[in-house]
Amino acid sequence: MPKRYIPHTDGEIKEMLSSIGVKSIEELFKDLPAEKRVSQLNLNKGLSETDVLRKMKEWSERNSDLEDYSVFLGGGIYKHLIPQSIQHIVERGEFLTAYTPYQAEVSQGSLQMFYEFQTMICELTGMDVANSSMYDGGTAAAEAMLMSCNIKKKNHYLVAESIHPEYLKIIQTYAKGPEIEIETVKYNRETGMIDLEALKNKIKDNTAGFLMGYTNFFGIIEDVQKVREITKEILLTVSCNPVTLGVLKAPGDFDVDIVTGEAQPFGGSLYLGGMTLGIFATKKEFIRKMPGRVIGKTTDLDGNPGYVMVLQTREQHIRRDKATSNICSNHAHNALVAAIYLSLLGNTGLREVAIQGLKKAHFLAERIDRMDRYDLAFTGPFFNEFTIKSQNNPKYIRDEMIKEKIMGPLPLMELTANEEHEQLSLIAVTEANRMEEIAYFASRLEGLL
Amino acid sequence: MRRDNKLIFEKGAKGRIGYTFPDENIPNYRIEEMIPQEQIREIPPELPECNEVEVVRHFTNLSKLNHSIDNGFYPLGSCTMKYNPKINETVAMISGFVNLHPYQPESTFQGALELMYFLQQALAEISGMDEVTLQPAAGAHGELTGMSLIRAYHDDRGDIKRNTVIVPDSAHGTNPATAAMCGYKVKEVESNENGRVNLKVLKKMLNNDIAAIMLTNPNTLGLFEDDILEIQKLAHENGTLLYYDGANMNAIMGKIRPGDMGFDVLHYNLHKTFSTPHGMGGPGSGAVGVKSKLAPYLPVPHVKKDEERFYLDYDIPKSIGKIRGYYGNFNVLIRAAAYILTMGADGLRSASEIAVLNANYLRNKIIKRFKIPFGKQCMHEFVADGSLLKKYGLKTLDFAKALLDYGIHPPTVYFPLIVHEAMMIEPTETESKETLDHFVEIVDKILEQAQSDPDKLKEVPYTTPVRRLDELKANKDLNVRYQK
Repeated sequence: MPKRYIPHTDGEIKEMLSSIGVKSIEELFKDLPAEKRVSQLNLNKGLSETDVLRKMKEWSERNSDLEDYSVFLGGGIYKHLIPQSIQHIVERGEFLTAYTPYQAEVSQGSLQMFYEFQTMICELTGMDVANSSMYDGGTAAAEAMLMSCNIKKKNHYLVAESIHPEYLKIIQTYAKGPEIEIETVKYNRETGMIDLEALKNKIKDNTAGFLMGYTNFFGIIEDVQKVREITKEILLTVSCNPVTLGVLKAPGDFDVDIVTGEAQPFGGSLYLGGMTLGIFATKKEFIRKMPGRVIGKTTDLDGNPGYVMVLQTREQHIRRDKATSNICSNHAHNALVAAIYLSLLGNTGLREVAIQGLKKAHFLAERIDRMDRYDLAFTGPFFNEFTIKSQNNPKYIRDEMIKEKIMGPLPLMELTANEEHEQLSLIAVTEANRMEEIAYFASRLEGLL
Repeated sequence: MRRDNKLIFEKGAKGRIGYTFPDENIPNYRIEEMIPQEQIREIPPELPECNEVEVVRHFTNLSKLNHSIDNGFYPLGSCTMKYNPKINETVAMISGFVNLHPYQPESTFQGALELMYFLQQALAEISGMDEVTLQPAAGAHGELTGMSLIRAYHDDRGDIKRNTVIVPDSAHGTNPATAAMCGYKVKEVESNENGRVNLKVLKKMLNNDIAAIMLTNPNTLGLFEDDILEIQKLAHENGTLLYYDGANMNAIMGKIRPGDMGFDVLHYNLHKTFSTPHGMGGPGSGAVGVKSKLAPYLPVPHVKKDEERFYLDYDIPKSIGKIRGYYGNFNVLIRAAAYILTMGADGLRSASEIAVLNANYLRNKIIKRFKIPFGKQCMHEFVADGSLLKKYGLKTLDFAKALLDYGIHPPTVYFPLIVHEAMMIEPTETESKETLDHFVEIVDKILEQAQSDPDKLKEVPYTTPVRRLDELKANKDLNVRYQK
């Protein structure tokens, strides 16, 4: 047995068995049906630390480490500059090896951090209340769909076709159980923005709400104001990349009902899309219908301030089958990463990140648009991500770029499976892309045969 | 030392920043040229303005207010708070894992896919299932995936009348909540006098409406459902599927497998059984295993292998679809794979054996002090009844809070619901005999105090960063965000 994690000596095991009054450990397993017992699992033998490291290294070396690449891939997960101090703080065992703050007296570190995180999300989104995290942007959007149908007691829900294609698929999966009908609203093929006429026509008596991207999957800044004007009778959810809110008007200023989003860009590493952070914010009046953990401020016996989990009567451990969601603990440690990131950057730093992405993306887009074989696919305003149309096959472009140690652009059809998108590619730019690599990318693109 | 009560928003000064951007010659476009005027933010968000030192100190000091496994004993029942090996953190930081974009071509992350494939195979072997998906983001999310699979299975067979799921009265709250999310009605089956599912009652409940039975085995009382083979026979004869909540897998690794017991679907909690850090509540991973009859419905994509390569299979025509973005919490999966490599077959079996040994050792001591209403021995955890505290005018809650003054995290309290004043204690295999003995000493001290000075116990803890908090006030005067 790996002694380094299991402290028991043979002598202690004997002593403990005799204290229990059994002869062997096996006796403790006597309730297990004998005919179904396994004798030996068909797994590896236990490895030493150094051999585990070697095995892991071996696997990691079969990956193309994007540390060595210029990255122009986006689609919900972005490579940003990450302050070094974050990693050192979040690795502290007191954060890493604590669990859900069931005992508030010894969890004030987690609880105060969540309260600060909730505040930051409210500030960014312009909403009244936020929860302490969700799994990712896609499941947060799906929970918003369920919440909207629950509030309105209706079972028809509209989703912009221009939303992240994976989000749409997640929403469709979540809708099956409660038998909610999901219908998409097409985008205008010229602008890349929601077709407002189509939206108007699709709202029915039993429509609970509408979900849109801001920005949308093509990188376009949707006109939330106009959408809100024609969705007054239903609940409007905006799914955002919260980095953009350093410059874009807060969704709350358009009086939207729910804001969700993917906050990986707040200090999260790429991790193959496996270090996600869903955010969820809404209006005060809906707080009791909101999924997820919420932290509130209170006082202790001595009158000192402190924090506790609140509104637990919405949750599964109390309400069981009547709960607002089955979600319990979710992505707390990633919320810590985001809270530290936003504390380090502040409004000035976040604005800088947003503006750099915006400007650099526009610089690159202009260059590309001037090239003979490429055009911008849409006329709508975009933020730090945009869609191009190329004469060459997007996969060919992508593969040629990899040879230059450039990762991206993203062939759109790989994700949407929509043949209309055959010539389209998505390009993301952030502050992590230096001007010289942007220029190099543009020149390689132009030089492609 | 006095606690610093200030929020990060109350620290720093206007104009401070904790990060420096590279100095670059960026084109000087005006924002108004790029974004329509009415979409430009006028009121900036109120975020902290601090330099790096202030931020590091603030969060370091916050961390010191937490109890964690690295600080001390954490016998929180059902949560398997075992030690989280540090090498798992090292391997999760390897650049060739960290710096991978989900949309780079799969030919450029073959190593990551191989790691995931290894983990799928290992988890299938440990559970006795045929296929495993690593996508679910948490235990509850695994349940949602698993129950969606069950629904897809019945629907595909045209067996659409099944609208009800049975859960025991001792089940985790997520079980009924998940069943409801999948559109099922929930019926509870009561436990018998031995703390197991009442077979007679279950038999009567089984009819053509029942889509699935959700069980955890050992159950939340820490007892093995010894009628499991009979239950699985009854269920399957009735066309009902059997769902395994893997919260308690730490009791049975290398001893018996849910798949062999007749379960059709299970979810793991990699953050429990496979030692990935709980992180204050996530990210975890709720990997789901299925028997082959349910494999056609697995979420997309599924990691597969052919002669030459590993690949992400999206071609699963009957799939339930996508349940989250991308491919799962990869940073958690790396750690779980490292743990399995470290432990190996024998190590995993030892972990379960010692977890069960520790629980029984502690149970045998605690039963001399508190009533343990069910069973003669236990698996990896047990549930004590704190009712005896009533004679001193005290509750389980007071007892739990008293432990805090001794640097011990209390057990899970008031769950499962079928035990009065419940205290659910799970020591895990990584705790030494001294730790368990020390725990018993502290229990005795608290019980002595309950007799001699019960009033003082009503106000414990005294030494924690804050004292007992007013939850009623917190819920009445909701304050869920800071405002200047």
